[in-house]
Order: sequence, then structure tokens, then C-alpha cells
Amino acid sequence: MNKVQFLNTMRSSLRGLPKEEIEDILYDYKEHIEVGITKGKTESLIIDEFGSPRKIAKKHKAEFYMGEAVREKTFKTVTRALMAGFGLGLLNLIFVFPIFISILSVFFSLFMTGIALLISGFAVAISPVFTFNPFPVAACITAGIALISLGLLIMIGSFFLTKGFVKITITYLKSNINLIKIKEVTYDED
Amino acid sequence: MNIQFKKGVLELCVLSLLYENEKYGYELTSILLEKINISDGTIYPLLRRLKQDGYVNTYIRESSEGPARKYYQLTELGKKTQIKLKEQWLDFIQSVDDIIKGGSC
Repeated sequence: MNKVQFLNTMRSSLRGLPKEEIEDILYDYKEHIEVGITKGKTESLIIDEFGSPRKIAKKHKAEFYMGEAVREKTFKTVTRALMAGFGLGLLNLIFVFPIFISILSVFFSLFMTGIALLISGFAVAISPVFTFNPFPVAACITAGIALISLGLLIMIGSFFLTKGFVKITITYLKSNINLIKIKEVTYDED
Repeated sequence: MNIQFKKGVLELCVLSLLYENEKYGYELTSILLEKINISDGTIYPLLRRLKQDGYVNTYIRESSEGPARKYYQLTELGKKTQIKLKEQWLDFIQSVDDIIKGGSC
């Protein structure tokens, strides 16, 4: 593999990252190859020493998406970081991903339950105005307020649960990516 | 003992190499490779993370031979982190040393 092939493989494997990020990453490798040549190494030897360009690209992607997930914790960024970690061969993430999704959907349905309670609370509170209603007006309003409060409580609760859960997921991911690095220091032969 | 040191072995090596003076990628990689067996390609993802986390700065400087070089330089945070990680590491190997040498008594 020559320099052009190496850089092209890297570039296509890095697809998905911002353009300037890709160029910045490639710059380091270009410089490394050029400096190596001035030190008397051959192009192909330097490239062999790098290891697989696809593997390197995956590492860069995982680092980038991890950083992104740490900066802004949204469903999209955390999912992407999980997928990138999975791409690195962190097989335990196969199990983590469905758990992540299912726990999040539980929190999401809790949140929606909160919204439903909120809406029904309003409906109950104003029901005496619109329909014939055997219950006294005061009872309707009290019940409505109770439902609204319960709905709000569930919404707030599920929001903070989600936030905490996402934080734990990111910590877990981070320790995984770091662990892989140690393994490389000790065992990686290529 | 802090578990954190385990994750930081390679980080500690890079931070230590940059502590005295800034280095460019090739230089840093060659020194590291003499001592630890890792593939060259793994250094750059790490360097980018150290930059992202604010431990190193980079700047481009022209060279008399070959291309312009991107130099990696420790920030104040990087220096503080190096000192902290180094202490943890020395503590740890001291403990291990005590255990393995004390095994005979």
C-alpha cells in the first residue's frame, strides 16, 4: 500500500465526520510519512508500521463521537458513540445497546404517561363546562388538579431518570474505550 | 490505589515525553515505539483526545529538512495531570514491589 492508497482508505473510512476534522486527522499521517522518508525509511515500511487504515479510522471515529457525546448528551450523540465503540470491536456493547434502548423507551413511555395524565387532568377540570356531569364542579377541579400534578411529577421524574441514565452510559463507554487502549499497549503485536 | 492509572498508562507516557519540551508526531512515536510495542497508528487518536481534553496544544513550525511539522506541547492542565498520574503510578508500582518482594517471609 502506498501513501495515496493509505490516505484514501483512511478518508473513506472516516466518512461521517466533519470535513475539517477529517483533513486535520489526515494531516498528521501525511506529515508522519513525509518525515519518515526524510529519516531514510521507505514509504511502504512507514505505512506497514501504522497498521490497518480502517482500524485507525475507527479509533478516530470512536474518539470523536465519544467527545461529542460528552459535550452534548443527546439520544443521537450517545447512540452514535455506542455504535462507534461497537465498531471498535467492543463486543460487550452488543448487549449494552438493546439494554440502553429498552431502558430509554421505558423512560420515554413514562414521560408520555405524564403527558397523558396532564391532558386528562385538564379535561376533567373543565368537563363541567361542556358535558352533563353528575359530579360537583369542585370535585372535578380538585381531581383535575391532582391529575395535572401527578402528570407533571412523572414527566419531571422521567426527565431526570433519563439524564442520569445517559450519564452512566457515557461513563461506561469511556471506560470501555480506555480499556481497549491498555490492551493494545500490552498485547497488540501489529 | 487509583484505578484510573490503568487507563492512563499510554497517556502518562505521552504526557511525560512532552513534559520537558514539545515534540512533533514522528519524534514522539519513534521514542514511544523504542520502549513499548504498539502500532504507530494508535498514537494519533490518543494525541487528538489529549488535545480535545485540553492537555496539549498544537502549532505548526517550519523545518529545515522535510515538511512543516505539527508540534504537540503540554498545557498547564497537561503538566498538572502528568504530575498527578506519575505520583499514582509510582505509588502503585511501590505497592506491587512490596508485595512481590515480601512474598518470601
